[in-house]
Amino acid sequence: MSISSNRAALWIIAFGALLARPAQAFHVGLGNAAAAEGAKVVNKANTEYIDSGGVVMPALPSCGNSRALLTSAPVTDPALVSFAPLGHVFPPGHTFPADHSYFNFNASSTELLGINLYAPGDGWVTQVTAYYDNAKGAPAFYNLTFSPCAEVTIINLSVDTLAAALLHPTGPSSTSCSSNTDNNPGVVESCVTIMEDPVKAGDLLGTGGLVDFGPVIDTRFQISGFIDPARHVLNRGFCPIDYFSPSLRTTYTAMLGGNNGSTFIPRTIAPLCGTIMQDLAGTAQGDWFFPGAPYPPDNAHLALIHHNVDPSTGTFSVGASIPNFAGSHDFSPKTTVDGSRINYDFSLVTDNQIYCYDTLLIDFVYGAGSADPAYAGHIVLVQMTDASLDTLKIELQNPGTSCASAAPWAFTPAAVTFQR
Amino acid sequence: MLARPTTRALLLVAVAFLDFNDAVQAADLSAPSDSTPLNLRAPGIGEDESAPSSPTLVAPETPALPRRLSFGINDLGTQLRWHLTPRWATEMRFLTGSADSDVGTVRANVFGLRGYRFFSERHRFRFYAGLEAAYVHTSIRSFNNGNNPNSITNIAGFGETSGYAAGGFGGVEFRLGRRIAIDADLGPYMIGLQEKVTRASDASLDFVLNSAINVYLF
Repeated sequence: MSISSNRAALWIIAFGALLARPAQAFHVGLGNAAAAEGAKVVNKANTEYIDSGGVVMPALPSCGNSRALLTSAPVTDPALVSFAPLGHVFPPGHTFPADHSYFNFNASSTELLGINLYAPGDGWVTQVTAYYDNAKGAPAFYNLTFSPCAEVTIINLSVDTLAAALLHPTGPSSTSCSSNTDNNPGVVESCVTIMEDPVKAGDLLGTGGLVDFGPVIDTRFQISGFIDPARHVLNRGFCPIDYFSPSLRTTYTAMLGGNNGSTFIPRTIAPLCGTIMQDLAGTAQGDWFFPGAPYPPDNAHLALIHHNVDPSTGTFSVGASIPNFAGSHDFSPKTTVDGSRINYDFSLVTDNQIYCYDTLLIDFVYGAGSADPAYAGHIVLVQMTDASLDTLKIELQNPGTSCASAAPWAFTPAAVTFQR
Repeated sequence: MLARPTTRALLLVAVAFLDFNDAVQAADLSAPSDSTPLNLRAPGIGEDESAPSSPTLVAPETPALPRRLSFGINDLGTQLRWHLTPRWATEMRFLTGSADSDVGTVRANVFGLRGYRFFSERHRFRFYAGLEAAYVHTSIRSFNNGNNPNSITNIAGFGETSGYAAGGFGGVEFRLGRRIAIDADLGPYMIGLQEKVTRASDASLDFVLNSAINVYLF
């Protein structure tokens, strides 16, 4: 009896082993086996879901290595004349080179209200923010976030009216309202809806109020070259044109620039799509930070850069920290050293001497600006004061004459210091 | 922790000592001694001492091996086994375990209920087979979200899973001494878990080796 019982037991064990042949893994201890299965489920959840503003959403498919993710025109209206290259400045909100493009139209304000925005590719609208001028009224405008895949996101697509399909998202969504205005004038309340509404290329997203095209966030890449990379969001600010299919990219590259009505002013200096990174180590060129001020926002800081449409033009992009000098001020820089230290391109300011600038121009908006009468007789002094060239002193003075006549130059206590 | 190797070793030594004493006592009881009178009664004969009969040698009763309740230490846990009959037993057990995931170390707690069918003991070996059903709960000890603001690990409660484990097993118990035995079994287990926040789930068939040290209390 006992021999046959043991044989039976052996058979049971052998049968169990046979059953286990399709088993996916071998574990010592049921606790470890359960932990391994738990790890598998956690990895699966971590891959398949994301935290979208505190809401659990299915993760979008990966973009892979592709950049040609946008296959359809976001705007088909013939009033679209140009796309602004990256790096536009509009202090204090955009003191540093803007990380997005703009749709530039030749249309009346009434005509602008009828221009449609379409989905530039297959993808998902992942967020809609409604901005209210009146808490009890209808939204004044909306900002949309569109993602063609997991790693790429286009944010701040603005429209006045939202396509009906997006008003009531079909999938999981969550809406929260607050007094956050995102620095939009007149706005008193905003409501953010987190969603994952699938759209097809060419689907209507909304109508009217189109302004920004981007920023594009691409977590696969990083913008390099900043002197202090830790100060910047490195995966935000890529050229949106680069994400279109080849034929559209060719078409839109030819539209990069500015326009004065229907007159197109192309950018002719590479990179044609502009850049938000203009730091040049060992020189005065690039972004300068007001000590202790937060970033973002740009408001307190300073950029000594080149214009986004005409990079041969130098620009003082000044936030709120330099008295009487806030705003964007262009000038025509010298590109070769002549010993004068007057109106040198920022890339030629490479030591601890004082440099002087005069003849500030009206902003290059609809073509090259003429001398700005508001700054006639003013000079701007610039000096990098430390050995590592990471500290910059700047002051607007009003000697009532030119740099050459105002020499020798000296700062007053009104000078403001910035840091890399 | 109770199931650490050093703790196990100490417990094993202590139990072996007790078991040795028990074995000595059992040997004393089972061996005839000069002080133990032989019972020379004839079987089936009444109490009448005057009745004539042929004498029969009856050895004194040997104490039964403790086989009723055992306490054991298994793979990173504990267990309590109750023999309903010499062949059938049930067992409650608690096990822990850990494994690495992409976002941190997963720690598992398993509360299981086993049913055993034992077979005859030969040369101190007893084969057995059985079934087990268990409740499983796992959680993550330390998160690593890679500083990704969109990582699902940022959601409170993410990483907890719960579910079941069920399987069959076959194995062998080896009696080291009178009260102490070790066992090991092997079998296929289906383990199914669901994550609490995302509802992501998975079930898979794994091959599990279980082992334990059992102390038979009585």
